[in-house]
Amino acid sequence: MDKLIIANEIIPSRLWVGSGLYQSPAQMHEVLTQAEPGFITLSLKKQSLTELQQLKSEGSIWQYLQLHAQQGAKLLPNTAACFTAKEAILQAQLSREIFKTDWIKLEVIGDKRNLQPHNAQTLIAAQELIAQGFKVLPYCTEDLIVCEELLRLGCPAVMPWAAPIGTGLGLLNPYQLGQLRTYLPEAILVVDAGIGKPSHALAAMELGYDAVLLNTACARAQQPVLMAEAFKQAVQAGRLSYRAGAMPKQQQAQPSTLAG
Amino acid sequence: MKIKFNNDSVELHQGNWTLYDLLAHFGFFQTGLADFVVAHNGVLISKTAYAKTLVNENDAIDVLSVITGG
Repeated sequence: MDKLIIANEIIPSRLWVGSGLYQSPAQMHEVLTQAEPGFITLSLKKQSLTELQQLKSEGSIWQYLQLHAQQGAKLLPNTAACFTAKEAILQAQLSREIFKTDWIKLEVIGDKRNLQPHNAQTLIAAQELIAQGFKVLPYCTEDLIVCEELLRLGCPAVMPWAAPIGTGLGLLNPYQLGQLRTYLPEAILVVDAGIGKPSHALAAMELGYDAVLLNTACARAQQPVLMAEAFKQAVQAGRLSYRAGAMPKQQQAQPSTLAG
Repeated sequence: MKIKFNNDSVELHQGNWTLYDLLAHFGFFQTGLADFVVAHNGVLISKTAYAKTLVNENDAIDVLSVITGG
């Protein structure tokens, strides 16, 4: 069996999907139904009375997210829009209180222009949240030392970016992402952010990554539900390819028909 | 006294306000609302602590609930 196990929990799929940016709650629901993600990311914001009434109503995003959680997907609250460790720690505590989960996608942004993670603040927040019993999945750059340090602190996985959030540019630094796999053979590695097409997800999985987290690539596709199916198949194919082991590249042609 | 409620300035009559009083005053205990959590001056306050958390001049109270996100 090829189960993905993180922090002693079986994660039902290697495709993880964000809940943001869809045209409607119903479309989000259709995409999640098609994708069958292992984790679904979500977040928190300040809400008025009217907004809380809407969230409770039939067909709301919260109703659908709860439905998918009941069907086996894990909810993964994020700390989006946090720029300091202090902000991220509070956001994580609030998320645990309302979503009743210790999982947290730790996201501390360092630059508003490219939404690059602030690795130093991420390390500080990770250390504190782990001490408070959280299962921290940190969004980080593809820096080997930062990833090593996050793992040493006790993060059960690390999630380096492929490209800036929402760009869809794919794996901008496949060499370094591959180096992480080589240097951290036992670590759970997840590509988070920058995926635009199923071929990008497949490439990450072929590098040996354990899962892929994406949102905009589905939500901004011309047909999000169809794209969700494409990503599901790409992640599965990439994983199979990695396990099968690709043939070595050769510079010279060799006939595949051994005619006498 | 003045406080910040979800970033808005709010004027309350003088008196001893708890967080529970404040949330009740604004209608947050009516039925038909989604679950929410509360931060008081940047600190999570659990439901069981609403009634013993005093609200003071210039405090910041935030009520948060779920949104979609990546």
